[in-house]
Parts: sequence; C-alpha cells; structure tokens
Amino acid sequence: MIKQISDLTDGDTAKVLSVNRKDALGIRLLELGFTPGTPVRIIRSVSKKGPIEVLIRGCRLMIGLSEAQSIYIQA
Amino acid sequence: MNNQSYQRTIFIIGNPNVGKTTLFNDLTGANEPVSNYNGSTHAAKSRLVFDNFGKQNLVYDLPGVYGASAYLQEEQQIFKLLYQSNEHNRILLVVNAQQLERNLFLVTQILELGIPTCLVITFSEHAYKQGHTLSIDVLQQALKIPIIPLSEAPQLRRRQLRDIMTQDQFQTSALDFHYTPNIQRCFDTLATQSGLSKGWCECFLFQDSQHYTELISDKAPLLLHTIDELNQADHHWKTRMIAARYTWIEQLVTRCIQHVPHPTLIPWDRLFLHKVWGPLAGGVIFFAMLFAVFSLSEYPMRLCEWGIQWLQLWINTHLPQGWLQALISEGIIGGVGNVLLFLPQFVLMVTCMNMLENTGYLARITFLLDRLMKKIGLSGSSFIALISCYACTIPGLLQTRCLPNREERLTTLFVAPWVNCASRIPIYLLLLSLLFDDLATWAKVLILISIYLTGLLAALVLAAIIRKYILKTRHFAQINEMPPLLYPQWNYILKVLKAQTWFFLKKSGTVVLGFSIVLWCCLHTNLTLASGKTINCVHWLADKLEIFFKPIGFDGNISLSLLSAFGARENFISTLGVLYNVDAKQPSTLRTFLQQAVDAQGNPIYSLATCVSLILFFMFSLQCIGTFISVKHETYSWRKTFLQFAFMNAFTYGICFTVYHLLA
Repeated sequence: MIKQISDLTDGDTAKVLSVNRKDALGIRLLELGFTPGTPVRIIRSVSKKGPIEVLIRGCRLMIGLSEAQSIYIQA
Repeated sequence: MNNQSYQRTIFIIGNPNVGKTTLFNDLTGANEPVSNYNGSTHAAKSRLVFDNFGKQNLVYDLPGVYGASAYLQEEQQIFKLLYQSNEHNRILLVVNAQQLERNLFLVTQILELGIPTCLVITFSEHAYKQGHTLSIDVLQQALKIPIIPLSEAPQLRRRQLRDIMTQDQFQTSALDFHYTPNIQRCFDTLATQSGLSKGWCECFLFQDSQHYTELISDKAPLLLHTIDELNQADHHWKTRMIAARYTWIEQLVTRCIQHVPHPTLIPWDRLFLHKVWGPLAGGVIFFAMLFAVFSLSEYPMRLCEWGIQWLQLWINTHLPQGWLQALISEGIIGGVGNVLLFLPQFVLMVTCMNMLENTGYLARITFLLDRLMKKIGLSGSSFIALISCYACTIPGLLQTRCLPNREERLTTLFVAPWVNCASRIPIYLLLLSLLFDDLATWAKVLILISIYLTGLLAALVLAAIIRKYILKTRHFAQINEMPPLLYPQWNYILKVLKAQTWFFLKKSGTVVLGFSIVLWCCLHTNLTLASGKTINCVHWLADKLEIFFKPIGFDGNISLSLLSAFGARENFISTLGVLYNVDAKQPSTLRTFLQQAVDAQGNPIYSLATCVSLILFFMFSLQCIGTFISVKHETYSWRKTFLQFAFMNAFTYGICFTVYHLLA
C-alpha cells in the first residue's frame, strides 16, 4: 500500500517509494538518502502535526510535516 | 585569494557535525568553537601552519555540506572555493564512522572533482565499541585514496593529522557509476563539450543555475541545454543519478562493514523527547541550572566584593594623596572593579549553558518546540539561532546563516537582540539586588527566569507578527539532524569557559577600563566658557540627557551610563561606579551607593518604578554597537539595520514610559 511517511506511527518501518517534490528540497532529501527502496524507520513523532524523527541509513533526522508528506513509502 | 604563495592549501570537508572544526583546531592549534549540533561553522576559516619540513600549508575549515546540490548558501560558497582551486590544493575529507553510508555519498561526489583527497574517519573507536566492524582495506580498494581512521586521543590524532600533511598523503581517484544509457549519453556529451571534469558537470547540473553563472558564464548555455535534454530523456534523471550512487555505496558498505549493530536509542531520549515529560524535564533542568548558578556564585561574589573594598581601602591609605590615588581608587576600581564582581556568576552561567549544548540537549528542545515555532512561522533552526544568543547576540546572528529561507532569516535577525545575552546578567543582578535585598535564592531565580522567558517570548511574538504581516512566505524547509546525546566533555567545556572568561576579562581590561579612565578624567576637568561660567562637560551632558530620559524615570547619572553602555553593556555598571565614587566622601560598594542615592526632594532615585523601567530598558533596547554592526554585516542593508534600531528603541521608550508611570 502506498502511503506518505507522515502516515506511519512510531516504531514502524517501511521502504521509500519516491520523493514527490521537484524543487531543490526534493534533491536534498534524495541526497540525505531517501532514494527508492531505502528502508526507513519512524523513531517518534511529537504530534500529528509535529516533526517526525526518522532513522535512515544509520542517521537520525528530524523532518517537518510537509517534507514528510512529500516522501511516499511502500508500507 | 592568492594561493600561489603557499606550498599547499588543505580544505577540510565533510557532512555537518562530523568533527571538522575539532580536526581544524588539532591541525592548526586554533581555538575555534565546536558544538554538538549542525552548522556551528558558518564561514570558511583559514590558518597557516608549517608541516614537519617547514613547508607552509594554508588550512581551511569549511561549513558542513551534504551534497553537490548545495541547497544552502554556505554549501554554494564551498563549491565556489573548490572550483577556483589550483594544483596545490588538497581535500581532507572527514567521515563519521557511525554514519558511513550517508557520509560516503558526499565522498563519492567530492572524489570526482579531481582534487587530491585524503579520507579520515572520526569516531571510529566509538563505533567499534558499539559493535561496528569496519574493514578499512576494502574501503581503500574501492575508493582508491588513502584512508586513515583517526584516534580519539587528541595527542595521537594531532600526530596522525600532521603526518598526513607532511607526507602529502592525498591522491586523486576515479569512480565509475552506472547511469542509464540515456542519462550517460547526455552526461558524456556535456563533459566533452564543456571540458569540465565529470564531477563538476554533475555538480553544476544539480545546482541552481544562478549559483554558478558568474563562475562559468561561458558554459552556462551548454549546461542549460543539457538539463533540457536530460528532462526530455528521463523525467527522473536526478533521482536516478543519486540512486545510482547510493546503490554503489550500499554494495560497498555491505562488503566493508561485517556487522552493523541495531541502532541503540539512548533511554534518556525517551524522557527528553516525550510529549509530556519532555517539556517538564526541560523546565526542571533550566530551573535547576539557574538555581545552581545563583546559590553557588553567592560566596565567591561576596569574596570578590570584600576583596575589591579592601583593595580600595588599601590604596586610599597606602598611596600618597593625589590624582593618581584618586584615579585608581575612583576611576579604575570604582569602574572596572564593579564589573569584575560579576565574574563568578558569568563563569557559572556560561559553564551550564555550554553543558546543555555539548550534551546535545539544546537540539532536543528544538524538536519539542517545533510545533510552536511552526505556528509562529519559524523553524527549529531559527530557535537554535535565538537560543545561541544567550552568551552573546553576535554568534546567534551568525547562526542564522544556516537558515535557507531569506524571510525567515531576516525575521530571526530582526528579533534576536531581544533574547537576553550574558552581558546583561550583571545589570539585572545589580538592579534585582536593589529591588529585593533580602530575597531568597529561588525567588531571584524565578524572577530571572521570567526575565529570560519574557525576552524570548517577546522575540517570538514579534517574529510571529513580522511573519504574518510583513515577511510572508508560505513554506520553508525543515530537515535537521538529531545530534548524539553525550556525556559532558569536561576538557572541551573548560576550554570554552577559558575562552569566554578571557573575553569577559579582556573587555573589562580594554573597553571598560579605557572608558572608566576617560570618564574619570572628564569628571575632573572643568571648562570655562566665554561668559566666565565654569561647567563640567560630563555633568553638562548628563543634564542634557536627563531631559530626554526623565519621562521614563532615569536621572542624569543613569542616562549617561546608558549612553556609555552602547560601547559595552558592562559600561553601565562601571560608569555608575565612577560617577558615584567620585562624588562620595568615602568608598563603598556600588550597591550601597545606589541604595542611598536620593534626588533633590529627598526621594530615593532607585525606586521600584525606576528599577523596573531600567530592567525593561535593558531587555528591549538595541544598544550594543557590536550587534548593530553585525546586523548590518548580515543583512547588507543600512536601511534594515536602522529600521531595527529605531523600532526597538522606540518600542523600549514606549514600554518604559508606560510602566514607569503605572508604577510611580
């Protein structure tokens, strides 16, 4: 099932499907390792609207809601 | 930049928070501040060092960079610097052993630029203890450049770095990635037609065209043409190119790392980042910190006070009567002595804040406060910038450089002076001791916390207003790295403490001392006017200033001290000290002078209304020449700088006026 990364709950693991952004930030997300097929784990989210802490390629990143919504995953 | 006169130029490059500045300090003996969050280095810093053969090496410490797309302005600067490099240039690539996979992405991009490179691995011992088993040989075979895991012992690491430099262990290397035929064809055409190396081709293709047009104006049309072709050939060419690199890296990482431990999440993070307990823990930590600062500093402060009084008395009795004795007693001790009194508190405060920063706790607060910040229209990074103003506003202003959004950055720059800096602490403490002499420590702590919070909240409210009505942008990016939670590293904290204490002492010994002496001299010089009237220029100035400041409750002495505080905030205390010491019959502490001061009608000058008005004045006014100049430097605009200056001071005057008249 295709979902956005922001739809996952704490502790979930999924594989990145695509980054749905055409701007410079989309490229930055890819550079940070959100390439198709990469496993990503949600460590925690402060709230439904808050930032999400994810683990990708051994790094802990905090990403904002709108960035999280642009990352599609295969859950 | 003229690199020709140096034997070699070494650029230290790596992802943010991998320890580049630490290596720069190790290699050059510099004392640049390092921190446990992203982006503590904002601009390229360079230093000249001699290697073991006496050859000159210019070493550059550069801000952190994630990839060639150069999303941030700081990253663009790095690629500009590298593009202009010559055959004497070397790159010291820094990689964190715990984040090898992500870090290798930048490594592959940098290697393709064709500049001789040496890869050093930091935190390798740390990673080994966690269970990582990294095979350097496999990594070296794949990347074909010298790879050196650095020791975590500073002395050994320094030697390793010096060896790299002396033996010139830098090599070029070529990597080969498999792009799809369509992409590869466009890419090869660009490389042959432009004459650029493969690395630079890719670098420019990924960057926004306006970043590099001035560098390679002749090749810009060709690049734009290639981008069009790539878009036609494959809509997702950027994704494919980055993915190709990562596929190559994944294969390499599975070969060179036999065992990756399951990432352990520090149990403390469960508390610090909890929805409910996190903010509560934050409150307790800050209160405990300030409480410790005040209760611990009380005794050394008493000792200082006693010491200064004793010194003043000794000078008055042992030195021969005359101008020199008066200058030392009234001018120097009365001025600088009263500022130095606050050294213990300053030292403790700075230590505590450094500890929070060093352990990685500050970055966690931004995570918690993100929702609030988003409502205001700022991101967690602006909050870090605002919080960095605690020691001094100027580093906080520099920190705004890591904000990619221009409007957000301007807003943060505009409101930053309202976050209380450390040099305002002595003034608050002096005024609080006048207001509530026999107040319990916890009450003082609460008042001080409320002063701090009011400043911060006011800054945030102002930012919200600006973002809503003036500098509007709908969206801004927000990706931050969570730095590791570490135990306080005492040797580092002590080092920073030493630097900041030295800064405080230096300021007291130069600006404050100089001003005190000049003021004392002026106080003792009378001018005779043509009309035959004798006036003292200081008193004349104080009288004139009083007309302006009387409505907000300040007399001539206070007004004059406020004016002097433009040079350095500490001047406020030293000026008052000199003014009262010169007039006094016998020396005493500044606090006693102020408590006993009465106006012409016999009312105390430092009444509740005046003291509160003064506290508000220091909270909100922009009266620090350093901040003023820094804002100009960061905004490149006199108009914005003066606008901020005028707004903040007009606002201060208004609020002081209202509060003074309500209380008086």
